[in-house]
Amino acid sequence: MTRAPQAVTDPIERSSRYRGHVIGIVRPWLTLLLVCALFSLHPVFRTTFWTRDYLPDVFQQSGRNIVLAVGMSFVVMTGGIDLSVGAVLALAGVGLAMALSGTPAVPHWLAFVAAFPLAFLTLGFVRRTLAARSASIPFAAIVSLFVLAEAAFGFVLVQALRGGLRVEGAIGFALLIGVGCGLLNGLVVSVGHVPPFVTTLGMMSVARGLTLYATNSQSVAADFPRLRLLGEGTPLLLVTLAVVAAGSLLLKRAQAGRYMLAIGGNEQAARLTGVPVETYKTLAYMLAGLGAALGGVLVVAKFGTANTGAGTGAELDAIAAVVIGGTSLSGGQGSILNALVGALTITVITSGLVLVGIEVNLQQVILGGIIVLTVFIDQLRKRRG
Amino acid sequence: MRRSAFCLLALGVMLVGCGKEDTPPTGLSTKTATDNSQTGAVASEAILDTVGKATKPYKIVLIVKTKNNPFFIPMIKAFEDTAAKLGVQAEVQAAAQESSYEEQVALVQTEVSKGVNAILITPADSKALVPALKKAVEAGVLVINLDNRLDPDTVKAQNLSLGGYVGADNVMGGEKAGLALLDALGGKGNVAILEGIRGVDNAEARKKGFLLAVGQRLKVVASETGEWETEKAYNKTLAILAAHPDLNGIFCANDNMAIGAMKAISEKGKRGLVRVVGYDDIPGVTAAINSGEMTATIEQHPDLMGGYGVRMAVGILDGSIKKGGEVLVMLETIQQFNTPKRPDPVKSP
Repeated sequence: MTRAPQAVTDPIERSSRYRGHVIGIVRPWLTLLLVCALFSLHPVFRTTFWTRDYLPDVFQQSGRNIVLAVGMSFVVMTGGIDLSVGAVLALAGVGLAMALSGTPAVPHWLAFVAAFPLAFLTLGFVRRTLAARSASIPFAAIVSLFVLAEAAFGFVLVQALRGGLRVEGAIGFALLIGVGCGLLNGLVVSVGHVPPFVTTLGMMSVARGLTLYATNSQSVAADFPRLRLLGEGTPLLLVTLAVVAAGSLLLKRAQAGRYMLAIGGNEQAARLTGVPVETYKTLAYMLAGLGAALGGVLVVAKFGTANTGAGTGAELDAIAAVVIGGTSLSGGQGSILNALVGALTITVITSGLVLVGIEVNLQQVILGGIIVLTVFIDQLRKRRG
Repeated sequence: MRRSAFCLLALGVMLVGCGKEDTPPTGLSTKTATDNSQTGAVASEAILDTVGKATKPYKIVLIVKTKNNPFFIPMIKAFEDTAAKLGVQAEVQAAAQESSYEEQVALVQTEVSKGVNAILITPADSKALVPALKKAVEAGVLVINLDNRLDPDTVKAQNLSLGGYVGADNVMGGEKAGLALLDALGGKGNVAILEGIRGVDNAEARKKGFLLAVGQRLKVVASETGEWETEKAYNKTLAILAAHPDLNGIFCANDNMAIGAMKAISEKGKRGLVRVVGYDDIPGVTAAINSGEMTATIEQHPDLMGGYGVRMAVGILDGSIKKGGEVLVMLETIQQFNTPKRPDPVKSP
């Protein structure tokens, strides 16, 4: 962005850069505190929000959005966007519910959607092994290997579904559906060079349509006690925090995180320095799909029913959380913790507006205004700094 | 599930427009229309039940708002079943989104040029579709309005001659929901409303009916929107419960939102202290109704709308039924208590 790329030797400049870095970390927390402080001017908010009864609710309400926002962060850092996460959430949710309840049965094509990432990973593994032995593989062989793997994994999944799955297996199945959708998004964006906005807008429509098609537009009941444990209280909190921790580790400690940031910062430069751009871009969309599917699992667990309309507008909440958290939509920077803070801020705003009794139509106006204002202030600071 | 006795006042039938037709439509249908204004019975549920096999295999199309909404699924099924029973050809069309009336206008035009005999339509917009339907009537197609009612003033102003209306009254449904909550709370208490999407006809009508019923007796302390969606309703309910610890009941304008509200209430340990009334009677709330976790929900029989719609169309085309009738299908309050004092009222038309 505006930061000087050359090494900083001037001590004054170094200290100002350091300060900028600290502000970058603290800023989302300041926004959250500021929002809380503003609402606290209202007596009802003071007496209801700052209680041991309500504070945990903030986490209960934002858990799902945090999970989506973590996945979304990776895509945004590569300079992309994923509009399909809300619809993928619904598809994974009904997949989970159908796999568990068997009424209606999981359609076979959905098993093949879930088999897609497995087949693709197998293909990648085989190619890598062969490439290590410096053997060249003809294109036809790659295609037939992929078709074979897809068919095999699909068949195994269909058989497994017919035999009935335990809760863990069904959750795995749902996550595979999400990763499958994300993988497709990623391939179309990185290999097909279709703009992310268009690709994921298309996937949004496709996934929502498939959700309705698979269920004949009906909600699917999934009232299984072991699954429903996940949807509330401490387990929900732990899952959310685990996702944030895993995301942070991936971004800060793994090569993949550095590569994704590099791609978002300057795709050409990253390519020239040998970053496998296509692979890591695709990985970002797979992570977003995984987050969406996990969000779907949490929603089904919470309510014991998979709705075809679940997650409507969830993509916008996730993007808003990422942006309020201070991650730039132009890519190249960001942090996972910020997405967490952003999601919490949104929940504080939306529930705060209800607590203090703002009229419904005005609530949307205020929320929209706050989102833009936050990013505006951020931009001002960056330009000056 | 127990269908409550006190609300079995099946709404029967309202008759409007028994007089002679204002303007016989021009073109092909003139003959039929003029005949209808003299012969035939006035449409009612009982009369429509007597409609027999069609004399010709008429082509009848049902245009619903969207297949995304489970509400239309029983309507479509009953429409297809009844059409098969009466020996007419059935076709179903739908727009992609609930609000896309432009798409519906295009569908109407396509169907007219395909030469259908009758169009049954649940309009996505109560005004915007009138001109397109007027053109359909002028081309000799019988148009029957289902569910969401076309705006009477616009219909009159543009001189649209409708075959009739089959639907349910959402205001009345909201009133029934209000009465159920009043009853459960013993006539007093603090309640909240979780509305549907603001500005949508049935959302506003249900809210209006609810407010009419509870009047001054229940105090409405909060009116938020859950946008028809479970998760949003859950979030809003948590906040409402915190802001109003003395809350006694919540009316949710559909059952998806009621599921979210019930989850929030049970997480806060207020099960039984805050009563929930929903709307639509979707399969997902049956267990909650049976266990008493949910106080009541309103069933508005989309299946009957689909079935009676076909019967009305066939009756008018065959000249046994007058045009311009209105049939309001029954609304039922579904509750836990009471064994049914009558046979299951869900008859397949």
